[in-house]
Amino acid sequence: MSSMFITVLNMSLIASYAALAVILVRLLISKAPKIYSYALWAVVLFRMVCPVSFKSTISLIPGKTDVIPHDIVFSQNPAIQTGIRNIDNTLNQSVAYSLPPVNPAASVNPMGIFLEIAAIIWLLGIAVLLCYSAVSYIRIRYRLSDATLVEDNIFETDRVKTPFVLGFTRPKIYIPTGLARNQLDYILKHEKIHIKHRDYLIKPIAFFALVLHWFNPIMWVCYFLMAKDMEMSCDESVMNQTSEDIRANYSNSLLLLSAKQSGLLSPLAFGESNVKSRIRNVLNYKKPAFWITVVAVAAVTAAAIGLMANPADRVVSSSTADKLFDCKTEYVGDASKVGSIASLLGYPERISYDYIELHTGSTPYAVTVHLKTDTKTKDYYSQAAYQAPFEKNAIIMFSLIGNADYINFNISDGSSDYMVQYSRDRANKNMGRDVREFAQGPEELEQLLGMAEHFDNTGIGGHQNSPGNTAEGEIRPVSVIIEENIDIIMSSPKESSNPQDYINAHRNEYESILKLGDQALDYLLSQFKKGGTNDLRGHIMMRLCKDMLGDRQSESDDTLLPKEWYSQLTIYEETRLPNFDYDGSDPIQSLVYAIEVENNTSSYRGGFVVVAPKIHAYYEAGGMLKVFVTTYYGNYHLYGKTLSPDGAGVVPAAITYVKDGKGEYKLEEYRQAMDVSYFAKSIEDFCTMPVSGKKIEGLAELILNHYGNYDDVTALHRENLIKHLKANNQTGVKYRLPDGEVVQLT
Amino acid sequence: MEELKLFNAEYRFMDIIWELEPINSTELTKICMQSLGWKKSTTYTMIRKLSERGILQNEEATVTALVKREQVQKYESEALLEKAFDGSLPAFLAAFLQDKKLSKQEAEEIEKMIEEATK
Repeated sequence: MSSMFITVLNMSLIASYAALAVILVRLLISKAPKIYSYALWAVVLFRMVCPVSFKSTISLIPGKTDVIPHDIVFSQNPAIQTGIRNIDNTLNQSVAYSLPPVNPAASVNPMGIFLEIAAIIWLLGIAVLLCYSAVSYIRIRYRLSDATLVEDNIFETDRVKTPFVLGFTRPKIYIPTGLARNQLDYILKHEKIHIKHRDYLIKPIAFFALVLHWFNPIMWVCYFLMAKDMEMSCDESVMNQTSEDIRANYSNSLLLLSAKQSGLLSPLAFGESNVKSRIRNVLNYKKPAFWITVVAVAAVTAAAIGLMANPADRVVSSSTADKLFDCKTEYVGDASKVGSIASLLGYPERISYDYIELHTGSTPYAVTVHLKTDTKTKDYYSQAAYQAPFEKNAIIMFSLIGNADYINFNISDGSSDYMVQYSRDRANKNMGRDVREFAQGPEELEQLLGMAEHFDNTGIGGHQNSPGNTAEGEIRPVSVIIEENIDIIMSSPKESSNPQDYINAHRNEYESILKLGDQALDYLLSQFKKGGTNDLRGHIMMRLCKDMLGDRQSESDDTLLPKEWYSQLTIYEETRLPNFDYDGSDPIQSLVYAIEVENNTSSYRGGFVVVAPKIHAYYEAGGMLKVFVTTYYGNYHLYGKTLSPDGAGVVPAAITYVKDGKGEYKLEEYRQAMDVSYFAKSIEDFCTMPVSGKKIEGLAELILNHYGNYDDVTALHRENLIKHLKANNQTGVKYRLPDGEVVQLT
Repeated sequence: MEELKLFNAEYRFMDIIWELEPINSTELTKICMQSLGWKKSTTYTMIRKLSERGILQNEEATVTALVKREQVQKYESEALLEKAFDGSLPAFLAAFLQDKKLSKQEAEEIEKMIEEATK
């Protein structure tokens, strides 16, 4: 019952919007025939009785149509969303003050009781009004039973004194006895037009709608104004039907009838006397100019459509959890779902989702979400202290994407990028359990969203202790953030003399500095340039520099003190090399190399790409070419003479090309094998003929067998890498294996 | 003899009886349906009410008048109106349409307005 009441409340609010708009438009077209004002009320009536409507972007209804959510009873903090912020705040403050806080342990909640009572009062009001109307109707019918026939459907009685129309199926006109013949003429014309306009039906319908909304005073005003428009429109029709000027006589009839009226029947004294305004309207009546009609029709049409339509959907936060849950996937390789998740997530202001990049070649599996913003915002969020929104999103992604090991957010301002990385381990640690448990259902996910929302304010993963966690919006210099973090790192444990112990004790602060990237490096190196120190601070700074420089630095003795280390330090600029270029003559190889290089190029990593594809088979049919390959790709940076790997993998794929107008093959589709348990299945799926889509027997087995031992592509990759270095005149280049062994390449 | 006051409908009904009496009551309902637009039940109700008041009598389905036309006078409509009109649905609906009785002053103002507008 309270659910029905909430529906009516929502309709009442929307109808009130519509009513206020109609009243406004009514003022604008007050010079036009009243029939247009009268027609406008249909919109309000529609909104009063019909809880649903079509959706359109041209809707004039602000905010949502479900202003009061149906689950308001169950919410801990009942809130109303009209879509207008100021109103919401005021309303919800009053809601908050008027209701004691919900005690989740208690079985009933105050909002529920309040609504239940309100719904009962509402129903009682309806019952009272309906009873009163029914009794009145029966009484008047009885009184009119001995009214005597005049002609057709016109009856005369001395028990009424105002002419009116009564009846639903065969309406009759009742007139008081003793009206002068000339007056009667106009009166009957007026009443006949009421019948022609079906006003005798419209008015009761409007009345029943009003009964439903009896608690809304705006609806009573509407009813009054609608009735007035109805009468005036009827008056105008009478004059329109008569060729001569009857304004004076007609007005006098109106005046005479009203002068006879008693005051008993009027609980509302409403501004200017109604008869007076009707008579004024009659006296001022002119046949409308064409342009007025045009304007009025346009205004009425626009208002009607705008007020009938519901606003088009915007992303509604309450259903975000549902939408996100629909995108749940076990695999990073499921690009469409991962992409949907990334686009559904909420990002800080001025940051928008651009595209995703999936790293599915080999473990660790990662997703990079590319985000666009301006430089100022990018710099701001480059500070670890402000990255909670991204960590929150990462946790949501970890819960929804089963096998993601890392989530990266790459924030680009168009010219340079900043990337922040989160690991599953960290997410699990922060949430105190496997975050995937939150993706069991939309409710659990909603819970996670709520919890993550909370982290937004406090920061997660030790950020609450991080320096630089000041008022949002303030952008602080990198140097201040670094110094604050170093101070914290140096603060404990006092008893140790090993700098590594200090770093280990403040891993988050240490990583906060690392995350600042080259900005931090520049600052730290500038400190050494000024002289530097060999104390704890110097050691910490040296380690930071070493970690950030990686392969960019010349080899150094680990026992050196910071100042000595700096004096011997050589930083290699990255030697920019192009991507690998296939120089053979095989047209199929050439096509495959081009696509593999393109697909494995990473915009944020930089560096260059070398690929080594093994072509298992290819098929041409109906202007299409489908090639089945397993490719070893690697991404590298070259610093001085040291090659620094940055991502590599061996992935089977099916590449489909289509002949274009010039007879050249252009890429149509690139399908990579998916990860882990989907691996074999995804390969079987793409082992089909182009055009016909028929399964190619034995091909999937061939590819899978090859994947068991891909020494051939490893060798080819090395060969291609060396060839590529030589082609770019790079000699003496070496490559450091993870265990420290150095391999000379050229 | 005391003067009897009749409503308009009662007077029109009696008119028929004075004209045609004595008249069979079934005949009378047919005539009333035609000339007054009344249902059968309305006519019978009217016969009963008026015979209770001693204005007519209905014996063996024959209706005759007990008073003469000259003894009766029509009710002044005005006196009735207040009583007759309370609590009716149209009145209830009309409550928001028709407002309080015009004062004399207002009526005069409007009259002047009409005169000026249509000169």
